[in-house]
Amino acid sequence: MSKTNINQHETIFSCFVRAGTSTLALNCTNNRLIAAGQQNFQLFSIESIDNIEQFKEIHDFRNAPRQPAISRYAFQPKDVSWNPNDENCFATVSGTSGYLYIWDATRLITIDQLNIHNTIINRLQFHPKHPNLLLTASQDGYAKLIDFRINNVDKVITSFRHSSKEGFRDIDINISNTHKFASVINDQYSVPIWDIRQPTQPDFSIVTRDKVLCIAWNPHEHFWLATGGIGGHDRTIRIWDGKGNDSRQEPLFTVYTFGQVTKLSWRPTCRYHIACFTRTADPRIHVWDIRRPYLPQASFCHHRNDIEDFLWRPNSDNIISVGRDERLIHAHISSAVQSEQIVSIFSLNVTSKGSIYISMPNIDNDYVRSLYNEQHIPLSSSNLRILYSQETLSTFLKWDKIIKGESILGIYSNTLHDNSIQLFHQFARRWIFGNGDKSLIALANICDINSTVSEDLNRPDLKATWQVIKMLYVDYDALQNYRTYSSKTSQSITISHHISDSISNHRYHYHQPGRKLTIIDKQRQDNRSYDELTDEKRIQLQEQRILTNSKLEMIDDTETYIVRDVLTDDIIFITPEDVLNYGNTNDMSYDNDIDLGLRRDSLSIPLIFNEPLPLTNTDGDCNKFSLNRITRQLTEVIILDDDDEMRHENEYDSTTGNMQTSIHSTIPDDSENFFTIDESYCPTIQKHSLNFDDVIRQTLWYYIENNELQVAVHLLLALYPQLNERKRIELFNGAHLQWLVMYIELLQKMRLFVKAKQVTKHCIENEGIPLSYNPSEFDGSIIFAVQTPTLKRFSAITSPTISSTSKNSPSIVKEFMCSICRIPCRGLFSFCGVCSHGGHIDHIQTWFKIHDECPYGCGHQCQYFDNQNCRSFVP
Amino acid sequence: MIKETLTMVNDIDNDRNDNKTSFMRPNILLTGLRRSGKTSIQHVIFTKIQPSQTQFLKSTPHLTINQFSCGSLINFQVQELPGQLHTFPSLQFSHSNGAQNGQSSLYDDNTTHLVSDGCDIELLLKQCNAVVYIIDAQDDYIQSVSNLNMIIQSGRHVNPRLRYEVFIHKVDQLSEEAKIETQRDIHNQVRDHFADVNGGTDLSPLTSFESNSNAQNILINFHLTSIFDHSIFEAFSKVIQKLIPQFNHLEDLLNYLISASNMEQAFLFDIQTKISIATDSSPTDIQMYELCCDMIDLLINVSQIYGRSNDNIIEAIEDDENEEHVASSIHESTNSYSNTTDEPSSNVFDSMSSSVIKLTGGRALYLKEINRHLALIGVLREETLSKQSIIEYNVNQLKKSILELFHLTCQTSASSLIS
Repeated sequence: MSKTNINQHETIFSCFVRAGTSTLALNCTNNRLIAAGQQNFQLFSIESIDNIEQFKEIHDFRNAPRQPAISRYAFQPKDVSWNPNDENCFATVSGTSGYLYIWDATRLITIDQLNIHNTIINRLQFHPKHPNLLLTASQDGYAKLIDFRINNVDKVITSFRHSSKEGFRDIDINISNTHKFASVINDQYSVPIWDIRQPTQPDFSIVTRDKVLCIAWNPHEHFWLATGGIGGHDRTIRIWDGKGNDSRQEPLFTVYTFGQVTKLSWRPTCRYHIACFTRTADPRIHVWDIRRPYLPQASFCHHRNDIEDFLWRPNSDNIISVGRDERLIHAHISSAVQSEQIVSIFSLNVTSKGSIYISMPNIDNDYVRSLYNEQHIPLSSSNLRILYSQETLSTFLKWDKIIKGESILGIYSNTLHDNSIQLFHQFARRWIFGNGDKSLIALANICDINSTVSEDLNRPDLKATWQVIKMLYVDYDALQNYRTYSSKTSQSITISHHISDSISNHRYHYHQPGRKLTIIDKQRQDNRSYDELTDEKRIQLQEQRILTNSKLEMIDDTETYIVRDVLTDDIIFITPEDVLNYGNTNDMSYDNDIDLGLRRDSLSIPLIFNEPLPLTNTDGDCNKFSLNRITRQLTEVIILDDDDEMRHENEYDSTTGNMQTSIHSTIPDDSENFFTIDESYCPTIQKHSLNFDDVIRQTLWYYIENNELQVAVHLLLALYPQLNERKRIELFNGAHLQWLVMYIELLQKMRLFVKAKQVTKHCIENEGIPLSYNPSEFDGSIIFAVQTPTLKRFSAITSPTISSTSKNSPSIVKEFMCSICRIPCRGLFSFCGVCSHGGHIDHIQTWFKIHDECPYGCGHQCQYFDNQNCRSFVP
Repeated sequence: MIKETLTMVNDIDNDRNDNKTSFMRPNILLTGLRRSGKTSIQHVIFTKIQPSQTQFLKSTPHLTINQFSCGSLINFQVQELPGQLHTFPSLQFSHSNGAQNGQSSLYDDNTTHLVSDGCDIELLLKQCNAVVYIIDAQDDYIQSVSNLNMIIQSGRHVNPRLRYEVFIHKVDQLSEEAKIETQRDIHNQVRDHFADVNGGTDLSPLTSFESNSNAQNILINFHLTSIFDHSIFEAFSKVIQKLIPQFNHLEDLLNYLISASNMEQAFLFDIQTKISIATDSSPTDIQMYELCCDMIDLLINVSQIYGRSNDNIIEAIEDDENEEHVASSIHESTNSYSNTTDEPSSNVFDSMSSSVIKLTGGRALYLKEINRHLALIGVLREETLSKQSIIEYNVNQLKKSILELFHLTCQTSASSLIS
């Protein structure tokens, strides 16, 4: 019946119980356990067999012959409590009536039954010191103190009744001052604290913020009272000062949990830790450090279904829990998932415009300062994981306040958009598109060269794009492990924070204020609002300086970034350190790629990202730590196809490790906590091959729509061998041919005839692209005849370049159709330099008296271009 | 027979004091400042108009009295005191007003009556069993809270056992924090006021025992409500539940049901108004309540499309009524009760109505008709449904007991009134 498995540290053992177990109780000698509920009433022993602790069923009360005097409702206990002074005596209450039953665990019989309440008893508790006293809380509005020594019928010595006459939901007797007990009253926004000797009225009431369901006194800090709500809104655990000095007090601590708390229990070995499980479907028990309320310390994930009840074994870190999966599990906290090990701290989002959003924890807070002041940790280890880790927190007991969870949101944006024609020329000259070699190595070469060029020309966004392409296609094998999502195509500036699992190297940021990071000290996280709008101006001011200083060199070695998410407008990389010490990474050369790649291969483990270890060698312990973690944890990583359904989940991120967690910040959604953990801890391996077509399609279309025809065409040409005919049709629907033609036209207009020829030649000879015109016709001419309707959309793309260079246009124009009368123009005519539409001068003049838009119907606002852009020609 | 009893009650209403009628017809005084949403709440709950339509409602100029009965088992009366009438003349008007109030209940249910402009707040407070005070959370509520304090102040003298249910209304526009903060603020203001009155004792009105035991305890509950979601129904359910004399027995019955049928939770709903008149004793939350409300809507809508109207059956049984059938027979009692209702209930909801909905996450909802106005909704685990016949048997037993319970209370109250 029992099965055990042994951990190297502590034993996890479990056994099956009957269904419908909803409450557990452990006796004072720690060796008898009652598992009871609507359909169950079992007595277990916990004993060592062959030095392995195990559960062993001693008795099943429901299957035993029933004592005639006991009603069957006695075998559906709603609550069970052991006498803390008698290891063989326990009491149960019926789930349907006000009966209280006292049992003897050795003889396994009922020794007493008392009908003391009119209706169901919600909770009972033995007096911790006094073996003959028992307190009950009933739905009928009374809490009653029972003394077994009294000989009258119901043995009640004191009755407590709240003024609202509502039922008592829960009670808890304070351990240090056993005259005091706290109570939960139905539907009330207060927790009355009573004195056992004074039944007429409560000592005082703690006014809570919402309805309360469960309470627990802290065993160490004797007047800390934790309350958990169920009011329909509240998902918090609040810790109150139960001394009662100020009845309208603020909570000492507030923990934002994932659901409505059903049961609370303080960890016996640490005064700051409290365990709870929630009412919503969640098969985990979370242990929270109340000082660090945004992320659970540990999560027990042993159950496969909802938790029904749990308890700590006295003076240990072991939890016994029972769930709907009909298993009773005994587990040590070391077997729980430590969320700090699997969450990521940093988030970085790079947009194609060169704007970078980063968020990272702000370690410049009181907690960290006090850590340093107390010399609790050495100054050299400024690793964030260490600062906030469980080990540090559990040993640094001087700190008894909430750690303010602040983050820094930094925004770097590239406002230096150089649209000059020189840039176009430069790119046209220096970007290559291969020599017909269709291999991936050639593609890698193209990507590298092109990205270097982009970097030289101060377009880090384009460089990043090239690197992404390289990663997607060339490093495909390595990329098996990358988890890529295509995300929603929102064009808004993405504020979603893709947080990467990473190691922080905070000193760079912290000790180098000269970096001029745009720091927005956000409001506290529980306010959860980024006042970006109000801070915008400040950012704008600062980012100018940043840009001139740094030129956004931080997007340097894309191998150290992870492709998290390729948006149409946002290409997202994750970098851990580089944001902070991007100054160092300026010198990072591409040789590092090989190193990193080799290391990855040699480890033969999938990396979601690589820490640039050789580059951050200033912080040795940090590196060691990271390597350890990688080798220890990385076993399998989830690959998800980037199909549409993932788009809705793009706030989820994968992280390294065998536990898949997702963290998303609260900006885009209204979730309550800054950090929340994905429901799925258990990894599900999906062996889908990666398919980047959609990413590519979106990227190209994005560039097309944003007047970056040149980039799109070069990307297309570089990728042309990788895309087969069917795919090209599927992705671009033939439009890519138009792009090519237009690009060639553009080159010719720019007088880059050689380049135009090269492109044409490359297209036709190397790739076999069926261009829809004869290249010989285009010598030095603009083809106005190619005003096909399909071109309309893209004619606006070339606007900045054409408008400034149309004076270079050759004079030979074949038949120019008047957009209004549709008759070929002869003699003087007028056309828009941007959209190339026009016609007879008088027609056009009449038209623009009334309209702003192009008469051809292409949608261009020709009127906004002043006279110098509208030129006349005599053919 | 039952019909007669009820008319008798109404007759007695006229010339008797309200003490005994309150047993049959709990009296709720609905008040609050003007434009706080009193009429809207009534309309949304009892006449089922769309919440969005309520903005066109005219403000109510006079004291209006509406009587409602959920299938004749639960009767109550809602007096709406407009916020404009803050002239509260003292006792000299009490006689005339009392007579008029008495007369007004002559008229049948759901009708609106005019009462003279001078409203005697003290008389109203004396007559009613609960005060529902609406506070507009989107407005500045200082005036509203001081008005509430005044009502509580006068209520303490005339009717110390009065319940005050404060609806912090129109919270749908507020964020979660703002809701909690508003509630806390109002709570504190009320508490401070009475802490001062009590001579600075540091007791909240919720728990305020004064030092002597026969002091008045002010029973205040706060609810965050909005007509645009189910919170108004839930809050009103809580109000009604506290006024129903049979509530404790219903709760016990439901406790037995969930224990015997292995359910998680059980609700007793009035189909028409979606007011839950009883639940078992386990804690409920708004999500579960919403699920149940949606389930009722679903059932009614589907039955209206595919179900067979049973008007003719009712008539048939009405004819049989003369034969003095004992109401223990489920079918007949069901239908005979329905005669006395104020509103035509959904004519597709009958004794065959039941529904099972399986939810994701392994839960299931089980709905069964109790009578033409009441439905039982049980929340249970999907695996429990494998023993559905047991559940059905248990529910039938519950149904019998509930009908007997109401029959009994009808009889006893009638006899007590006659004597």
